[in-house]
Amino acid sequence: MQKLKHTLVTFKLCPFCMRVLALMCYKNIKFEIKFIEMYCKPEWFVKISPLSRVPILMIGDDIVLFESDAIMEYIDEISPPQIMPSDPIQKALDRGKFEYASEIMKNMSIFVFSQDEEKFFKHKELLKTNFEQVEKWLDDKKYMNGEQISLVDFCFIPIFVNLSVFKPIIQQCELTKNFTRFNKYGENLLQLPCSKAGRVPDYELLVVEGVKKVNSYLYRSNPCFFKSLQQNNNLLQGK
Amino acid sequence: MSLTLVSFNICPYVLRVVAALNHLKIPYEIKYIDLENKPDWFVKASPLEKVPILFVGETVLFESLVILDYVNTLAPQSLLPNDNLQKALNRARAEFSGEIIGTFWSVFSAKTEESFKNSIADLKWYFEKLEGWLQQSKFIFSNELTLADFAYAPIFTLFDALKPLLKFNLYEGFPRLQEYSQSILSLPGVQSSKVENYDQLIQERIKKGDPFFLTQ
Repeated sequence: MQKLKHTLVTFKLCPFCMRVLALMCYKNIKFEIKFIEMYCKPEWFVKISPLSRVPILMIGDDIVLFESDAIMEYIDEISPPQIMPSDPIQKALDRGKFEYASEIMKNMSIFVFSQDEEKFFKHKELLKTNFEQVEKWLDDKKYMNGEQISLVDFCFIPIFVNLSVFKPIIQQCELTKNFTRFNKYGENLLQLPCSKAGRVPDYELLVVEGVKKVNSYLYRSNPCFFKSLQQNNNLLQGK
Repeated sequence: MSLTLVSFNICPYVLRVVAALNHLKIPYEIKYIDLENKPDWFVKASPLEKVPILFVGETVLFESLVILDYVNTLAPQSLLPNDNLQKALNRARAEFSGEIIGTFWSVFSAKTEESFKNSIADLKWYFEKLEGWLQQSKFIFSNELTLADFAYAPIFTLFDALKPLLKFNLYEGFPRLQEYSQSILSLPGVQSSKVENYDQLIQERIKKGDPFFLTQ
């Protein structure tokens, strides 16, 4: 049972934070959330976060848990029923997939934010290989481990959230073409209420700001797409 | 169930697992591959094409910290705390060691004075964190040896291998860290985790990159 106060410290765009946020919503954990700026970290944060990274989970008055995977497993353990398998081998297999999902996010980050054309195309190909692997793992299952969602699925939510932001570009690049199981998996994950909760309302605008700021290759080669994304979001926000 | 660990001779991430397996006296086989020339069966079995991977029967586990955790479940006495929060904190602390291993390579492969100085500054920043933790406890997490200590072991075997090439003491200003490195290095499991000629192989690998620190 949850007795201590839980405060999650995050950046709005951080995919590792999104995993944890989606899980905490799924599990109905009572918590506070504190957003901080990536490029302007407050002193109190630098003091308590060993790697000056997010997410961190502040528990009670003086415990700081860091590393999204460790946080996720802890949250799962304090809120039964657990959705991480109990069998040691299955658990280890799933944990390996946590890491694989992190690798996909790293590749996606370079694909989206790199200024370099060569790096962009290299990571596009890496992503295709990654998605092919996920397709294989899914086999004919709804989620990674069958009909029911398990902890590892939360690691893939940010991947699909980002793919959905760039949908027309992804289609044009044929990045997910022929990966029917992968695409269906994405649809299933994005339909979950906790996926929506894991994504802040101004997410798309922040992504546009981010790519514009670094003038990434993706941004430069899709000016109309980003202009309309920005305009649509401004409209939605009444700007 | 038979355990086969697929390894590269000087890989620090492999060393973590070998040290733990040896310490826990769990029987296993080891298969070495050449990372410059990866066999087909390896590429097929390892999703990230990295070592270590552990075959448990026919199931393949990957990621060194994941494998460490699994190996721990085979031990008669767990190297992890029972309490969920303490377990999570131990895992988080183990993850932290990965950053330091990465920085090690940056320091000793830096080709210019500037990149060397920047990497050393990063390393010192990590060392300060470790020193702070070690002032609170004998080992990296508590007064008992835990799984996290095995995550840190390769840092010390790497530094120890390079000592003959260094004109400075890397641990200067970090006395607890120096003591801790000695206690980890003296664990039989860690000693036996180093391949024959480990120190020489590490030195050769580093020298190959023509690093700045050797010109000092």
